[in-house]
Amino acid sequence: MNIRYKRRIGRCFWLYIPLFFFIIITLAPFYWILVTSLKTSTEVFAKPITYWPKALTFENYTYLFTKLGFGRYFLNSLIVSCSTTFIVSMLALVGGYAMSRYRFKGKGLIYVLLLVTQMFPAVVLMIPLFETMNKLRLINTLPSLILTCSVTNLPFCLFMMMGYYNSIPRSLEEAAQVDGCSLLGAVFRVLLPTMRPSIVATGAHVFINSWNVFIYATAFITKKDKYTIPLALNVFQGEFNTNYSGLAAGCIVALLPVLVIFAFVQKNLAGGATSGAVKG
Amino acid sequence: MKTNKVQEGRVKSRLYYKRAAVPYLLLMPVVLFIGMFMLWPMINVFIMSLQNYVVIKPKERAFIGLQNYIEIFTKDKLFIKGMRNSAVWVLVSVACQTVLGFWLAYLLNKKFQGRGIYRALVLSPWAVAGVMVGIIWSLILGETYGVLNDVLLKLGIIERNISWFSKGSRAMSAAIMANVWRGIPFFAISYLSALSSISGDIYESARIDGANTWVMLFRITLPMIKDTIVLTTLLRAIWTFNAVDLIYSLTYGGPNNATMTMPLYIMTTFKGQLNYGYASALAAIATTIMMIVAFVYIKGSGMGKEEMY
Repeated sequence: MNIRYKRRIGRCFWLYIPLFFFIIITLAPFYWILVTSLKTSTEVFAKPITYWPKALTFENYTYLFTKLGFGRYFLNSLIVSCSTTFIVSMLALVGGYAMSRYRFKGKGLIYVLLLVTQMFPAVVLMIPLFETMNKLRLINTLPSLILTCSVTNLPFCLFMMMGYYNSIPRSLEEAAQVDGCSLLGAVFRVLLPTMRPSIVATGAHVFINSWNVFIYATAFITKKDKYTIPLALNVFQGEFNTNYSGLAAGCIVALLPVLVIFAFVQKNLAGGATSGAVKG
Repeated sequence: MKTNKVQEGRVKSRLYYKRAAVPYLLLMPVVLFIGMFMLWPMINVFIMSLQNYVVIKPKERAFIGLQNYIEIFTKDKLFIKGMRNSAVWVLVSVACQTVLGFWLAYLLNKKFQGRGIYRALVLSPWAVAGVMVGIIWSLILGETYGVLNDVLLKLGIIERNISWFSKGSRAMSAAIMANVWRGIPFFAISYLSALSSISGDIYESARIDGANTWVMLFRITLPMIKDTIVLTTLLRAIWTFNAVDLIYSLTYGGPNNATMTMPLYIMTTFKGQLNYGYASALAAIATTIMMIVAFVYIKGSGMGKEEMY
């Protein structure tokens, strides 16, 4: 009895209290933004601070979409993220297969190349890429962002894909081939379906990253109707000045898609993030 | 008979070459893409760093050798300040994230009710963009309207509202706090997958031999996930060093350049002064330093001695 009691107290102390601590510091900022976005702009400055809006209002959201044109920015972000996700998934699927299933000369070199490109800072690439995009006449267009996001996400996703392929025994494809499938048939009918969760996780990873892309956006995009959501928010952060509830509403709009996607795929994300790079 | 054999050999070799070409064909788009939009630009940075290249003065564009570099190393005080700020920013952020991230992963690796939903919630800051983290935390840290001051007042930790962004060291700690909040999930995710790959049998036999929790943590768990720890900290350190969007939207380098990190300095030189040559030189230096640090770190930690790939 005594021991069991002790154990239960220990579990409470070592497990539940820390769990509580982590969830509070994680969720409190989200809660605060949500509450702020539902306040009127005067209530934000009211003393004492209110932890739940006295007068619940959605005016900040209507203001964003009717006055500030967030619908357009939302669509832009969506176009960039979806295109990037498609391009990167295709290239990583194909490239990852080659890296995982074949032995060939120069494999080590490509591996190192991919690893090194991981370290290139966005602020550094931004400078020459601006020149390149300028020459390609892509400044102030969404394709400039799609191209940049694709190429910067590609190495990491290729590693992820490679790790996923490695975790599936080659005998699976071979068995399918023995049963009369062609190599392509084996890949499409057997390998890819078993990997579906991993592919979705990779895609989600790219989607979130390109939804969040900011540095390249500030460098390439200056026209208002080509803004993506993070860029628009940053610009309005300066313009808003005192309209903090509007800013908070903008944050919620920007966060919603990525948080929903993340909630669905976070389970599959766990394995891939670094195991691909560690085990190779 | 003979011709037959030769023919067979030819067919075989043609087939062999066809097969050997497959991986190259599959990887060609990737390599071309990365070459065009990452490697060539990177080389271009080093070329541009040797030029006097200010956008608004296109006629003065010319090669000037190492002059940009000389200026950076001899005259530029902001460069030294930026490097120092970056060092603080990276070291403190990554250290806090490593410890807290491991702790969270350790908790998540245990069984408790509602673990799935808890995990989805607690890891969610991972998906938030750096700019957004900056904006969110600026709303939390605001001197009069911010919630943190109010909470700290109510708990009796402070007596007056703190103005987070008026003093250098405070602004830096605010930025680091926001960054840690965002970075814990990344560490937790990668540690969690490493932790769950350790089989329970090892702990079982250790327990039978009389090992307590701490011994198991330091003698079994940590050594077994060492490679993951090294790689995660390295990756995160690089990303933290490169990250500019959080500070950009939280403090914009202020006050008095106290949070001006190296990448932000590059960005303001590029975007504000439009001095592409000088910004490229700064960028080249930052990249080189980072590569050296990464190399030393990998070598020094003895990672992947068994097999890296």
